[in-house]
Amino acid sequence: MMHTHAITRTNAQWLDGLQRPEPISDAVADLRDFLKRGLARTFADRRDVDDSDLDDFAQDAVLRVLNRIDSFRGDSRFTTWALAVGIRVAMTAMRKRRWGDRSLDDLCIPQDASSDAMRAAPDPVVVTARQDALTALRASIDNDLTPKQRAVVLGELAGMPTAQLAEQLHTNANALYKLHHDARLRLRAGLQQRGFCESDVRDIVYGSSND
Amino acid sequence: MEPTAAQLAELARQLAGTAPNEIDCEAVLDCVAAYFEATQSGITPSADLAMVGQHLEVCPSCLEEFQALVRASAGE
Ligand SMILES: [Zn+2]
Repeated sequence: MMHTHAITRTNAQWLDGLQRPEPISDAVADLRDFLKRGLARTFADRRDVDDSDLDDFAQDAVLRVLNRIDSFRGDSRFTTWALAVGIRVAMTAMRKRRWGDRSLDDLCIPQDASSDAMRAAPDPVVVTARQDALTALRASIDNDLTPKQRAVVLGELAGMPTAQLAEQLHTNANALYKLHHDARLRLRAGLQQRGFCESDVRDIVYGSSND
Repeated sequence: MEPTAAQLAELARQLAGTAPNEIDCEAVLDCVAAYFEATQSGITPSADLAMVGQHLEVCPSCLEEFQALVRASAGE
């Protein structure tokens, strides 16, 4: 019964049930069930997520949905929006768990760039030309970015979650995104100044269709 | 911290998708549901929603969450 319940409410009925001075407990319970089922599908192939994790995620997700319900724009089903919010909550928690308490300083990235490139291009002349593009991007990272921009770019490449990266750089997620965006614009210009474009770098690693 | 060639290639992919104006992850959260429903029903997203698609090109976290939304909605 509960299953049809959750998806047959209209947006207006959801909002009415969740937005009164006191949310109606039925609506809250249905939302929690709905989110838990959605998150169970999201994490179906993950052995590191058990039923009690799903309960925790769903509970936190309900609170987040209630907190930001005013930013629901009404341009989708309410349940789709709520699920997107729930997924953000759960994924953020999972990323934090996976990342642990490593800091930016702990990032140890293997220096196997040249061997990767060699494998992709056996011809020494091609290797040199291709290495130049990689070298150009490295040089741009080293020379064209502010220390904070460099930390964001390298931290993100190393898989450091946004929340942890923001915390370590004493900033927030929005400012972090702006730093990353500005860094990308600078790197793109930096590559161009050095006579390369993004596809030159990608071709080194994945090969180009012209090879 | 020295990035690998594969990481640099991923960065290059993001550079190629970078736009002068982008929306951030918070803004994406508010319109990703509408973007998802538009793409599911084969409707070309409005200019507003197209910025979500652009963001997914450059933000691995939001892309991961979008793919999760696709999976979560599949059995609904
Ligand atoms: Zn994002």
